[in-house]
Amino acid sequence: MRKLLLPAVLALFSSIYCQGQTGVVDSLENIIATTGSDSIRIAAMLKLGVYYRSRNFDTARYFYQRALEESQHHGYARGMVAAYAGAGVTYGMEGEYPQAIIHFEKALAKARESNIPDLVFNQYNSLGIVYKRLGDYPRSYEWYNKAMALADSLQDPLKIADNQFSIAVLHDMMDEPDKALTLLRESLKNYTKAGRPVMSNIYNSIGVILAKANNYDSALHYYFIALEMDRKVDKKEAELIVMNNIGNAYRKTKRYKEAEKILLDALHEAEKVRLNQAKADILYNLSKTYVAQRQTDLALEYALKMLDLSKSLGSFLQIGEAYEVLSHIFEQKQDNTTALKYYKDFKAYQDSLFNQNKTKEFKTQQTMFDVYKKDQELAKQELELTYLNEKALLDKKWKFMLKASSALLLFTLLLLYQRYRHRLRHNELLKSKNAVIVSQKQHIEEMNETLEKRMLRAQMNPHFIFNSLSSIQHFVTVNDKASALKYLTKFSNLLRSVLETSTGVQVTLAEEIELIKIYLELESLRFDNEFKYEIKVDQRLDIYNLEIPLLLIQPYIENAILHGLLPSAKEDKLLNVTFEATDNAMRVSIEDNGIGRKAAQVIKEKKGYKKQSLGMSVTQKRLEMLEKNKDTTAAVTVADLYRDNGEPEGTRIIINIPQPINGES
Amino acid sequence: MNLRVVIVEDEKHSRETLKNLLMEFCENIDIVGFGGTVSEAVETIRKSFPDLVFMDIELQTGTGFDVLKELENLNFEVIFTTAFEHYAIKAIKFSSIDYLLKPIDIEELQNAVEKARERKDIKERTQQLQLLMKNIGNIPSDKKKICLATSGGLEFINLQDIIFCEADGSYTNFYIAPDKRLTVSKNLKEYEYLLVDHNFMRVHNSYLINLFEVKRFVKSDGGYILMNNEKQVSISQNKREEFLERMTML
Repeated sequence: MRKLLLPAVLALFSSIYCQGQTGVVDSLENIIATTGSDSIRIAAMLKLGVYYRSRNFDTARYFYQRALEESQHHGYARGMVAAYAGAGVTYGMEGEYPQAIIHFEKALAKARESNIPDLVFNQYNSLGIVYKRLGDYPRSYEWYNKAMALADSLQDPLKIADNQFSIAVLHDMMDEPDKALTLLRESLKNYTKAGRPVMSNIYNSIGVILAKANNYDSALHYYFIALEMDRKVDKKEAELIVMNNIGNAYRKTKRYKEAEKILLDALHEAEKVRLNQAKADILYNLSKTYVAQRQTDLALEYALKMLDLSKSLGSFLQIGEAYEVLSHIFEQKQDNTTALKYYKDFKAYQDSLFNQNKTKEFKTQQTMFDVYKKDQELAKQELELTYLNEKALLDKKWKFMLKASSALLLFTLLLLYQRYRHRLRHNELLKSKNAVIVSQKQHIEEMNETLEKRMLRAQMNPHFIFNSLSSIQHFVTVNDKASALKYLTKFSNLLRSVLETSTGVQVTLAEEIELIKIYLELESLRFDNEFKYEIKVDQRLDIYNLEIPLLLIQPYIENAILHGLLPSAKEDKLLNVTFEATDNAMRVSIEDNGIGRKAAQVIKEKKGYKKQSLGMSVTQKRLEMLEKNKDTTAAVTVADLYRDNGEPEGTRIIINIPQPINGES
Repeated sequence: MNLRVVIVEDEKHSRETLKNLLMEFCENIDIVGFGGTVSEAVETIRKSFPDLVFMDIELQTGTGFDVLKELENLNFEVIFTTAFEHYAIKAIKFSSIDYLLKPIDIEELQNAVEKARERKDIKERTQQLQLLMKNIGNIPSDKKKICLATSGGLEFINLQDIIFCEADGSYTNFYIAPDKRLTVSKNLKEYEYLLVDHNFMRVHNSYLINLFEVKRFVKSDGGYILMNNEKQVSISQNKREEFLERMTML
């Protein structure tokens, strides 16, 4: 049984017949060349694609490609979708279904990405059609259902109607007339709802399905509606098809006269507009109608006409049908040989038709395989895409790690800041602690001072100690027992004083004077009484209570002897040491009549002394420390003494030692 | 033949002490003169041709070196005396010249006198004194020489030629470029004291090295130093840091 609905389906792929001829093309190309609007230019290209795809696939694809590039350049999504879809339709018309699928899927992806629902809907439908053409009904059904779901959600009755019609056709092909019929009726309702003039072929299709179910009266009802509509819009081909269907329905219900009438009308019309395909079908029906009425001659006449026409059309199906009718006619004529002959021809064409179908089926299988391969490729691409996604995900992970570490850093900084704040808060506590530390530090400094004094004393002594010991050695060598013993005793006393005062660095003035006396005696002995000395102490000084640092004055005396008196060639070398009381201090003066500072300095320089003698620098330091303790000046002044004639007459050193008033210490 | 001795001392007591000690404890001595000041000392030495001069470093009018400076012929032995450790002691030791600390130790005195008496090589004495005079002045390390008294005589060695010194009981072995080895009867500590100011470093109990003669510091095997004469020198663990620091400061 022929699927009568097929032409309607094919309409999607067949060109929308442009009445415009070359003029239209020229004007479109003119628009492309002159318009300043990108969208208009793209629309013109798409229109040219539509125009050319029923004439030249390559030209059509060229315009779609241009439209695509232009759209991509301007980021015009609708243009891109339309260009892909147009190319898909072109491939579909060419029978290049795998390419058609690819292009529709590209169009679909772009439409989805740009979120244009009506374009998404169109691609669903197109894919449904392609798979239907491939005979893959389940997948076709899948796409149509997607389209249906979208149309439902869009609440667009026109789209729903279109979709229902498409699915109905699919059901018809799958030999499910009931489902097809239901959908067609609903489709009809929705077209009405959409306020769209209903396509006549829907009524026709309903009629065909009803006729298949032998419901000819209902079928005729729909046929006549379709016929009326077709006549209004002057769609000759559709009109003829409907008329032929009506004739067929009349014949089946044995209303031969009505059948004959409408079929002859249709034949007349068909001959007028030279619609040979339809004419062949009409001749077939007419012939059959006459066979039914046993008007064999007329039947034969139209059957032969049909055979000729079908042969010229090369339509195997119709040639076969013609032979079948002829076989019937000769059966009626009792001419069994001819009947058998035509029957054999009929069978042969049926076989060839069968073979043709087989070939077609094989081709379909081939196409299916191509589609399968394409699918595989797509799956592979999808896999690659997944891989890329994974990579992106990995990148994201890295980014996350980075973020996490940054967060950690921030957190650490926050903690540090908190600690800093904490510290600030505890600053006052620290301050009070600091005060304690400061006082402790002072204490330590005092202790250090004591220690330093001890150290300084230790540095001061060695020269004197070794010189003293050498002196004793001398007395021994010269067998001066008395002097040796005396020197030894005095040196012991001095040493003992120094060592015993190691705990307290201050000594009473009396003690210091005693030590100086011992020292002077020792030096006098050592230098064989080369100089004389005198110590004077002010009666006002409380020598037993006043305290001064141990051996503070001794280095100045030593200096006076070694550098002032000993180099002198004088006979009466004299050293005077005087302790005097002043208002709140004590004054010590050490006076010698030696060579004077200048001459002494010359000798020192000659000896290569670079610095002040160790003893002197040590004493200077000790005096400075004294100042620190007493808040008064501990001054050392040096006066060069001269004779009346201007010659140097020794040196006087005055040391001011700050002291509290008697008894207050 | 008696040893002719001059005593240069500014203190009368010290002079007398030394004289008495020499007379009593040393044999075959003729004290041929005294000097209390620089000029006195120069004059005395010039006219009395001593074999040995006891020289106080500190004199009232100058130093013992001033005396030596003024003399044309340094053809006598010198033993320095001082009461206290003096800045010039190092220079004296560099020249390997004897010195006595006061109060004087009789045994040290006897040894020094005998040593002076036994020495026959007059040229050596002069060299020693010349070296001393040179070293008293401030001369750079790389021009400085040290006098090493070995069993075979005195050796005058450029400091920069000493690669390293090695302790050998109370003796010290000197390794001198290119491949000389000398043994001196003083301990390593003595030389550490003398050489530490001249880019030498005690890297180990047994080793005093010239830092300029270090070829490589080898970290493996617990660490050791390879010297320019290809000899390995151990380094103490606690000296490593200081060693590396000083090497970078060179």
